[in-house]
Amino acid sequence: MDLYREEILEHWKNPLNFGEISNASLVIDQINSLCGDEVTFYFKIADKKIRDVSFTGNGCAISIATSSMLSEKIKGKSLKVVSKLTGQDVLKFLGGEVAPARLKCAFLSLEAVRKIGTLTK
Amino acid sequence: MLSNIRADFPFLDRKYAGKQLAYLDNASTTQKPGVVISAVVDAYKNHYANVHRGVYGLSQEATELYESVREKTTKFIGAKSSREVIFTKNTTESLNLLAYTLGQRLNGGDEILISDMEHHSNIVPWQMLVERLATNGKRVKIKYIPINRQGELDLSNLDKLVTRKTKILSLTLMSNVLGTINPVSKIIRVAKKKAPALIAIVDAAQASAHMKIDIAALSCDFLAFSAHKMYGPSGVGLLWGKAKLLYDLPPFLGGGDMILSVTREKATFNELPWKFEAGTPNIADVIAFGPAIEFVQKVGFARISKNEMDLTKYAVERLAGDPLVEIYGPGNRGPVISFNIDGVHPHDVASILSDFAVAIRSGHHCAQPLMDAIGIPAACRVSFGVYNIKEDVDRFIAGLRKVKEVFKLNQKSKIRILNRGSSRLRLDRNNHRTNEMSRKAQ
Repeated sequence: MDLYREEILEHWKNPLNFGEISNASLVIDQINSLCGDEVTFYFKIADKKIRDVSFTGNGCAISIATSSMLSEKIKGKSLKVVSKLTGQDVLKFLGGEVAPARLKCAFLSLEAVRKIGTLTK
Repeated sequence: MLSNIRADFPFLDRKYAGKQLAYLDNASTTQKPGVVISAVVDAYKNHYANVHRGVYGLSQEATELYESVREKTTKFIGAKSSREVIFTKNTTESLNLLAYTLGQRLNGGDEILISDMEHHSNIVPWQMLVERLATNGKRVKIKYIPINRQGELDLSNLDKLVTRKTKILSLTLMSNVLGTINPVSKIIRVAKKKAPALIAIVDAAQASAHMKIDIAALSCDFLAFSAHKMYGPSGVGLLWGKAKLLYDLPPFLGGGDMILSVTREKATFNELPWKFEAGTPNIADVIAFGPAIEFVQKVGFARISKNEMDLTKYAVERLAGDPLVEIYGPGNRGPVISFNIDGVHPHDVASILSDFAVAIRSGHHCAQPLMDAIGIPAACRVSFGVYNIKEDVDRFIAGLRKVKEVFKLNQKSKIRILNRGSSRLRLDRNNHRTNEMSRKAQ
């Protein structure tokens, strides 16, 4: 229950960077096979930097809030920095303790972001 | 009576967050009574050897115990002969066995009829079969019986959906999501009039713990179910089929125990049912399925159904009074209730309930085409078993209040709901009346 603190719920209610970027240079879909939740990430990438990022999707508070927070973290960052993001980083900014059954929700957006490296090579 | 039944289940001895677990995920799998657990231990301690192989006493003992459960299963479903009862590892394997073996007989242009209400285990094996046949140049089509707004099968176009090309009809007896009890025997009769050569399969995985299964009344050709959903061990599935049909089918898996003799060139296959039981089976768990059948028969379906349907009715009433709750499915249902709280994802609901030692399921329930038909990505589900009590429902409802507190749904803050309002078939809301489970379904 500690997981559902004010900050997380605020991101769930009013996620940052939610919506579609019209001229994205890269679009990545990620599905959580456990529950069928989906996120789509839109990126504008130039000079090996994430110039802009947004996402759409349908998911639980944990996956939407993480997507919101993660999108904010990676905006303006170089692909090199983004490629080094780990699950531990995500858990750190999520704050609360995440039960094993909910790790997939917490990591849904990270899985999408991790695909950038492979898809931009 | 119920306190005695609860005393039979050791899982209730353990405390979660200081409380007994309100286990409301019985549609997924059931907890085990002590007699089943001790039968597993007893089988390994005292009666364990491989079956059908050794001439020594212990092997014969294991074989006799193993085969005696086949006899019990035969009687349990009203089959004529134990040669018609095959042990698999679960309903999924039973249905895959059928898709694989029956599939070899299909020709290009043939059709398979299932429904929008099926579990993935009664969809994916047929899709895989269609793929296999396509590589041999045979185009076979899967058709779906749709659902109506009440969450029942829409049979208004059944005579169009069934054609002379329909070779396989495979339907669930009870939906694992909506609890809908389907009139499968009626559907089979109608379908067979139009397509006499059609093979009718019933998926009884969800139904077998809640209602008497009678294969004659169902008028099906094959029936699949699992031990673990009816208080038996996991890893034991059942497949019943008409002896004549089983006799004609090719084997599924090849290996030990399914042969009479093997030369370098070819094998002669074993008699029924062993032709379909290749390799060392799940001996101890099959043996422990015996006491599970006895447990269900001792309590009796009248008492099981009375308890479960009283709880279902009570839970539906409590949920239906909440304007934020949307319940899916028909009024007349088995002990399964799927619902959503407006503005909260099912995973979050289940997570928070877990903190109060209330176990419910959340997600797509292995029925994504059904989720699509209803127009939701996921749902919460509570499902009842023989050991559930009114207090479990009360604790579940109290937990939902906590969920709404966490998400501040009791306040007037406006929740932004993501991705809602797209075109979706909303099932009728005013459909929450729950009657005694219909026995007409068979």
